[in-house]
Amino acid sequence: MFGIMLVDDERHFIDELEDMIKGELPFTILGNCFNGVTALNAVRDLNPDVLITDVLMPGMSGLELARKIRNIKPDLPIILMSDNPSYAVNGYELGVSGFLLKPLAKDKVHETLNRLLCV
Amino acid sequence: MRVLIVEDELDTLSEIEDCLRCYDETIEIEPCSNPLHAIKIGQSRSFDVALLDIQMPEMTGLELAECLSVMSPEMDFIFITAFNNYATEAFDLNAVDYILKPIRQERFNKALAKVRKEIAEREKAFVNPSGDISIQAFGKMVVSSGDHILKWRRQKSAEIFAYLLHQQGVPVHKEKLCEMMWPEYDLPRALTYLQTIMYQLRKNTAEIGDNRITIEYADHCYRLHLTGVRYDVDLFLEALHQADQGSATSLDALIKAEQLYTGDYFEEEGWIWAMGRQQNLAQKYLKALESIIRQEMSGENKEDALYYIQKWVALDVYKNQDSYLSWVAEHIGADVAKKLESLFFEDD
Repeated sequence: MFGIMLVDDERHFIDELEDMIKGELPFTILGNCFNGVTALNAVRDLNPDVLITDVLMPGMSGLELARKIRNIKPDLPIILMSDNPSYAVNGYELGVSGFLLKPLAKDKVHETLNRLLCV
Repeated sequence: MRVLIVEDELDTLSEIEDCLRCYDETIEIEPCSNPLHAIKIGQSRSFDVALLDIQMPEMTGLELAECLSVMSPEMDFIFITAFNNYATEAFDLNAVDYILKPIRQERFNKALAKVRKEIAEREKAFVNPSGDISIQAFGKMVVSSGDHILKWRRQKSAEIFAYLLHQQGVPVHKEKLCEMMWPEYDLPRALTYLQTIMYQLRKNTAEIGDNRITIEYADHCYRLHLTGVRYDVDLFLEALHQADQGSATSLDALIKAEQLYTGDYFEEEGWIWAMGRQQNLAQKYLKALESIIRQEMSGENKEDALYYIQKWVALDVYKNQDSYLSWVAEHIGADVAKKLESLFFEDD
């Protein structure tokens, strides 16, 4: 099993992701965070194999979170999610491993995570 | 590194070429201004990476990437475009990078460095595609290509691979596989796991290269297909078959079979479904060993048999060391029996 962390200020997106992942993909959900700052600390403590984060969040954005994570864990695969597709370009700038467009589609979530397992 | 560039505007095309040379002078470059022409080039030659514009008159760079990746699944893609609204599609196509125009050399270098890293990783995994690919099932399962040993991401991938191998090319229904591998899970959940594992497994076997180990899927069944792969169980059975022909070389064939048997069938993994064949093959091995011993003993140099007698005794099928020793003393000689006895004590 691989450890995964979910970050979103809107709880229902986290619940949705959990439902899509739990029992269907070989990932254990290590923890959920509702803002970037707690997520950054949790990455140090929980040492996940993958992190999925929303982009727009109050305080620290998902992009800033991704940038900061790069300094402490340069190889941690990060997946961005947003309802705004233009953030995908920022994803490439930050070297993230995937981009999920909201509303989330289960097959896309599975495809993106499955792809990570093989890299 | 071999690079294909597809860009309909000639100025930009030569600009990208300059950027590439600036990154690394030794890069092999194939510039192309027409995506349809690029498909033709892609059919006859392979590239490590394609740098693609997106908006082009004949077809989009995204469509082109799809065509090219069908032809060469290993090829990486980088999109170079003035528009930021295709990046989600680029992620869907698993593109390595997405560069916005105007191109900055520093940003461009970063993208190429990423490709170089991916190529290095692929090569690490894919050492010797034309080399000897072999599968070992005796003792412990090992799949290797040259010096590279395939590492299974998970125990289940190894077991599913082994099970398909065990079926000797007979297709296995996906639901049967699920029942075998995850008897405790309900079917939909097990099927999702299976799909994930198969995806990984295909990647795993692609690493080995050359499509010499492939997993086919048709009519809800999976089937393992081997081409020109050295498989120890097959070679063992072949050698035994050869020995059965009773020719002058039958002792050589038996000795070859004996050498191939490096342990029981999937001994270390201990998979329950393998037990039947494990016993069957162990029986064959025992018979071969006894036959070698008999033949060696009837030859000139009876001591040649000693090595095989040791192995035979180590199998411990007859449970009693004394009975082996008296058998050896009677059939070969008291001195050989003594030697054997001292070897036992050393082992203890």
